Amino acid sequence: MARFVLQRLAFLGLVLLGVSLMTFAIAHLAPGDPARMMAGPAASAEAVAALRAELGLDLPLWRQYALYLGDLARLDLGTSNVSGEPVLDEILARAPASIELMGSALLLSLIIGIPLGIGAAVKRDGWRDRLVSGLSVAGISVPAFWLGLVMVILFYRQLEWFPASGRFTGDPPPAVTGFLLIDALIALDVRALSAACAHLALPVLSLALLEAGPLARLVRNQMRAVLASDYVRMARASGLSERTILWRHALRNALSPLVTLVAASIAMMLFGSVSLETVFGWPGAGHYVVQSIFALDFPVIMGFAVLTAIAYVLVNTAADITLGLIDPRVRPA
Amino acid sequence: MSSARRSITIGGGIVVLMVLLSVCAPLLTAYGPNEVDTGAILEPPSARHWAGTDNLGRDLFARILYGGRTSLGVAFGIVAIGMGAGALLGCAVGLAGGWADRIAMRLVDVALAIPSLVIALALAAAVGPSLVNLVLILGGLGVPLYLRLFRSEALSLRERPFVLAARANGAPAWRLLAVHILPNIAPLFATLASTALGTALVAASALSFIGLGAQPPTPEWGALIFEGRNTIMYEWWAAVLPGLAVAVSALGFVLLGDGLRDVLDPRGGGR
Repeated sequence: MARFVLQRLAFLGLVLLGVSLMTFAIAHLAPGDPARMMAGPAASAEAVAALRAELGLDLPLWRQYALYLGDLARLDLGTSNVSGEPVLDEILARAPASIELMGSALLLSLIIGIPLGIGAAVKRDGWRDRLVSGLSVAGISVPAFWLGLVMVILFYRQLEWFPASGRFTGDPPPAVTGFLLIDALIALDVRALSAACAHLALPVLSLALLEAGPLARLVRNQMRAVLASDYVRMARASGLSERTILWRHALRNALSPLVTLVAASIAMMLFGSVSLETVFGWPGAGHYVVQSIFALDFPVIMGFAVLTAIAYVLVNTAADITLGLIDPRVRPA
Repeated sequence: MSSARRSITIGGGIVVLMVLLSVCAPLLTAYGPNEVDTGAILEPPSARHWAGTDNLGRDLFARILYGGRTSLGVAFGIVAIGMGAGALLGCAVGLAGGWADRIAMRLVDVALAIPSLVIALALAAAVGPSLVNLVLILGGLGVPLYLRLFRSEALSLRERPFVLAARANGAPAWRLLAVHILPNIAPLFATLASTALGTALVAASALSFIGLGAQPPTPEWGALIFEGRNTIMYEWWAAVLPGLAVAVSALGFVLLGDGLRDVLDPRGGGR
């Protein structure tokens, strides 16, 4: 067991090294001289050269990479060209909004996907089976940001059921966690809670509907395999009720691959939420990075890529290790 | 009709239709995609302009048709690069085995653990947004996945009697690859390529939507959705139609891929 955890951690080290090498290389591909950009067009050649030395841009590449690794280790991602504030602070300030959006979407997609997948597995070619097949194809082929726009047109422009932009209206609850849903609960503020939910509705629905398909499909296929297995046949032969077999025996064995898929759908959402947040004017990190793309605020774009890649890799490793702890079958011998 | 055949017919039909519509764009509309008409700004659909006009008076139907050329072309480019390189490298390391194989697989493991679309975003912003860069980036980032899939295919082919016989006869490595391995990965290639075209189309449109792909005034479906987004209160179809084109085309590719998989490879079930 210890060996398995160590293996995963060693691999994590390799992946983080890969992330840093990639982002370092990308930062060097950027056109233009960063020292010139920081100094401004009016600065003298000497001033630019001095700034270049100060930034370490005259050092050999491997020394620059070592400096870059040091910066990453201290979570120093540079400063935004637009606001002059540290990139880390700018992104972290917007992270709760993004995490609230993605977390709610993930939760909703599981609430839709798992029961649907189980239902589809139990009755082949029933309506749920067809729905799962349809949703999983839609999940791949429909762009989330476009579904978001369609939702805005339907539920905001036509029906006026939900707001289409921003995260909140009115006085926000006192900020404790930065997550509006949680803060509203802490303040026991029903009006704030419903306002937060109303703003979440359309973007969350757009993401969750598309993620639910692949999830349901995986649950269905796993459930089918488990229901056809020897131990389920044994349980049936022993006279256990279908209900007990399904919920006590089969489900537990069918759900563990879900952990891996959830990690994969987080990766999809990290990217999908960038364009989706833009559609809904959601004040999160994704919307911020798109604004930075148009403003050519390069440190922010790089910082966003590094942070999300590292966060994703850490979540993935944690999921792998957890899965290994619960389910000995996935541990390599 | 079996469900696999039905998938192929419907999916293939959609794909052929979308390709024909964009290839034959000049025959289907009298307007150019970038033809500005200041006398016809934000017009609703009419006999003259089937899908209305945008805020520069450009014909939206023409822009969507010509946009298909860009979007479908980009998707084909991405898959050609990503799967072409992935299949070639995968077969090569699979056949070579030994150190090359071990190092390649370790690199692939690392690459696949990194969220590639986020990297694509940073890379596209760094090298400057353009369609060529978009194709190279999304194509390149797809290589590790296909390398792994085609390597395992090559590994299983390597032990098949006809390959063993060719080897025993002293066939050189390039001949093994060209005559025995590559033709036999064609079914897997066709299946994966079809699904990959669907996902490439969606990913490319998302990057274009956030300004990292086609630049104005180039018509491209993702960029058209971006342009249409500002006017959804007056003409909702300007954003909806190009997105529908993305979704329907991607659906066609994915259905075709599903059907091909069931027909060409009876082992891989689990539709």
